[in-house]
Amino acid sequence: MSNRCDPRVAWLIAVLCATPATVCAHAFGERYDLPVPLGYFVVAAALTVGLSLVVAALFMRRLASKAPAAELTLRLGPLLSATRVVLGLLSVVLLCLVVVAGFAGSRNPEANPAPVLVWIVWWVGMSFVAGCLGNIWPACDPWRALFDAADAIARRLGCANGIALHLRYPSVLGAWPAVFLLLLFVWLEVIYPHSALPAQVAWLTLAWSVLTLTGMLCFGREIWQRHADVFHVYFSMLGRFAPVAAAPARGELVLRMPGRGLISADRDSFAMAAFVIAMLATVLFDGLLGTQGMIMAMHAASGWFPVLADGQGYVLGTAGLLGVWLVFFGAYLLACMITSRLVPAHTTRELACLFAPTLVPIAIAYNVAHYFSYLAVHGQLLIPLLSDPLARGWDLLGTARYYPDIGLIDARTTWHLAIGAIVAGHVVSVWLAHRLALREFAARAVRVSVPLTLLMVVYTAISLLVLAEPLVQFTDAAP
Amino acid sequence: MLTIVIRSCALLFLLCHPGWTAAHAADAVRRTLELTIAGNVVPENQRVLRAAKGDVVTLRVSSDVPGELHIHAYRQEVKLSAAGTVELVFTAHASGRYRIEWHAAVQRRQGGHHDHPFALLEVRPRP
Repeated sequence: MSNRCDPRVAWLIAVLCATPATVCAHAFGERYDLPVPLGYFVVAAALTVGLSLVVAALFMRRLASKAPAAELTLRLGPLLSATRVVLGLLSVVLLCLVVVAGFAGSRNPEANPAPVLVWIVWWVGMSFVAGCLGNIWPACDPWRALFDAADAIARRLGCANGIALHLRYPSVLGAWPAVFLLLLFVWLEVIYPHSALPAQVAWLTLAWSVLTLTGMLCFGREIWQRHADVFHVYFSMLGRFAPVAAAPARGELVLRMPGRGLISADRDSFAMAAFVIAMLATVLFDGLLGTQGMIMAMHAASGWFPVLADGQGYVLGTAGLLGVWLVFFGAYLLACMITSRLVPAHTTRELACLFAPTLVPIAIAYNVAHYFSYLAVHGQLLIPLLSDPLARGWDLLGTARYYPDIGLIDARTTWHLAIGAIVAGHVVSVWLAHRLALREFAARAVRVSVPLTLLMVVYTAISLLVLAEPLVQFTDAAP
Repeated sequence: MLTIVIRSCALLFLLCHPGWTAAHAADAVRRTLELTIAGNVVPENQRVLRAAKGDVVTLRVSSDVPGELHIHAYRQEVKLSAAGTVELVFTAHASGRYRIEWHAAVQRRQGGHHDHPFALLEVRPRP
């Protein structure tokens, strides 16, 4: 062993030691993104406001056509269920890989497939696929596959009701367990400093397996997944935006206009509104953590209140995460309250439930803007790891020597994509909210959607601020 | 109305693309960057080192104490076994903002990490 430090080992040291308040905002891996230049920021902000007005004007001019939604149905028949079986098997294999590699593989997060699979390929990658293409998670959900397989075997053996006990789910809880678990999961991702350690990933995976399988066993799979399975709820919500939807019972794939699924479904619960806001707030908070402004704020806060400075940033980080969520939720409820004055027949709560899904495009845009380059660059870590998952010096696929290409995505491409996604997500959200208002409130639709449109402009402006870090740019001009 | 949307998008595209093709044609520039480490810290004006994509960077590292310097993402590392100056030459092939780490040989704190990054290498895309 030479004296020169292996970069991967050095990376491990970096990962282990970085406090959450520094640069290591996401679960692991240094972020390489350059802040978006001020010019882009100004153009995007102007476009955001301008296009919102265009959308509003469009609706002022004429009512939306009553034509039925354009949809294309692809009948795949048994091919779809065969694909599901294959994906289900693959997902169970990967679940086992995560646990085995987490315990038996390298202790370096970058050299172990468990953290790379969980935090990058699955959590970030699956969000992209679910939002931009179609929600494939139900087919790739290993816990669902395991439960369904056990259930099918039980039925085959003569147990008519399957293995679930079908206890009565306490209706007062609603989907709040999913909200809580999403915040907890993101807390683990961005605040808890050891969440990238392979053994921790394996333990967390086991803990979730026990929790979710027990939940399915007690309440039945569907009831559990709809209310408490945070990942099922998360990817389903993203998938409602996606252009492809699956109807597995009929063996069909449906192609539709993106976003259609968000306004055609039944009204969501209040907890789901809180969930959608948490989807926005958590991604934004992750972006916020890496910014110089946030680092300065954290330093200032720990200076003013030394009690809060616990070295790991637990107290400040947790307060920040909950704070961003509560502020976003408060702002949303305020917009709904103002709207409820305009349509007295509807309470704030009803409106909050009604309009919540229209914010999903903004959540998808935040995801694309903040994680695309991360996924593209750090996702490559999986390539060598698939050849040598347990760090035994294997080269199963001949890719063990591969090293991620950090130049894969140029900074300028990332900027365009981020700014484009944010503006597009904003416009689609405004558009969907208008359509929904038109459907529910007909003639008063334009007035009704003004407070929400303003709120969306604010959300978008905040996300652009986080991307551009103008605080840094003003004080630290480029040469 | 749709034309307004299309025109706005075209405008955004044009505003953001002044150097789409120029980036590939630009010549490589030699650039020397200084990192003067004194007592395991760098002066304020060396906290962010800037280069443009494609530059051939000569990073001249001098330190009054022994230690190791890493730019992990670029897989660059250099060891100073005694006080002195070393040069690290590499091509800034990827744009982005990369951490430069310094690990002092003596008084190595557990972790050895600072709240702020030790220094940053910023590689900007060519205009």
